[in-house]
Amino acid sequence: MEKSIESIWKEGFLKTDNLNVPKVNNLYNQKSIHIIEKMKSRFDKNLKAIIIGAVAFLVITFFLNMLITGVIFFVLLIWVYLVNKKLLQSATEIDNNTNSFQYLKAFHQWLNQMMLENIKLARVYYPLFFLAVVIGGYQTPLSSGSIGELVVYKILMKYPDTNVVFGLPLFFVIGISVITALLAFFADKIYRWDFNIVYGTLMSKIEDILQDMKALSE
Amino acid sequence: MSSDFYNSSILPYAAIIIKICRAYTDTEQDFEDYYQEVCLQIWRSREKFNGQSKWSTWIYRLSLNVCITLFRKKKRANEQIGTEKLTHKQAVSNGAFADESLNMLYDAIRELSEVDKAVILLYLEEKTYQEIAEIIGSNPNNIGVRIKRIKKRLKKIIDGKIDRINLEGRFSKD
Repeated sequence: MEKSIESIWKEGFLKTDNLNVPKVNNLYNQKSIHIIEKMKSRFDKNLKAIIIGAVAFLVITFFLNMLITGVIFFVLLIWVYLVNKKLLQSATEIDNNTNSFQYLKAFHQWLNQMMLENIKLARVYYPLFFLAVVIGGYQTPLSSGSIGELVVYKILMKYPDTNVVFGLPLFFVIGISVITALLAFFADKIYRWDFNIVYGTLMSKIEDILQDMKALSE
Repeated sequence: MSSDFYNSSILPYAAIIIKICRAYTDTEQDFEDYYQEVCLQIWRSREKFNGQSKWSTWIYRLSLNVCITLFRKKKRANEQIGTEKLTHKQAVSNGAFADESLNMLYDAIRELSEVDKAVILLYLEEKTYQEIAEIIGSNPNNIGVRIKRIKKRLKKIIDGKIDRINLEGRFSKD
């Protein structure tokens, strides 16, 4: 290389007297392709879907005589909605007017906060969703009684010496309790795994850039 | 977008945006998308400009913030030409600038990390170490050392490219 990069830059742009400026049409109505904007819009759509789903599920379970399941789902979904609505609000506070390090740090913090808040929620809603499904399944009405009652009746008829707790076979109660406890225990891992599938690459890219910027600022 | 705002506040500084967007993109389509996104973000954030820095410095900062965090998958180039990476010849033939050395320099800058790209672009635009540090959010004392390292790396990349071209030229003659 004979010339310095400074002179290549200067002379190159002197020779290029007419930079081709891309056409910008109807920019105001354009959708942003920026990751923060895209995430905000995806978040917003998900939140609307949660509300619609929560109401629809409540109505459906009302007609199916499984209202307890519907109410549990409804309350949990509304809770998820409220927490994430607040998180969405905090995303709007990420300011691209600051320096690159601060901007990227704010975005990274927001992603982390979103993950941690949802892990907290998942610890409660994973087991509760499971219990709601079990209760719903148990309550599913038949011509006389419910599926749960019929199953318990058949088990007790076949194995009359089965231990019973609260009217349910003991192994049944133990099984449900173990699954519920496992869901609560592994909620962190399950949510992180889910989060990493969607945002894993993005997070590691941001972390790489942040590390590089940190090295420059120390 | 009000075309008045675009014409009066963005268009005169289009060169800055173009120079930055070119460094962060491989294809014309991506370049146009990045350019449009930067303009959109400038328009949306215009009220946050508090006059503490020059408008041009603010545009540098915002353009870099947008380009560094666009995180688009670099698919299109591969899809278009069906290879893993743009070869040197293709990159030059698709070169955005009239000057071939400048195209080659841009090719080399594209191989740098996101942060190094930002540092060298600001340096080439004759920003002081203090200004570069303020825009990126770093320590001005480290900027000089980093620039030396980046320049060395760029020289190595460009020399490698030139050697490859010379070799290809010799083979094609034979």
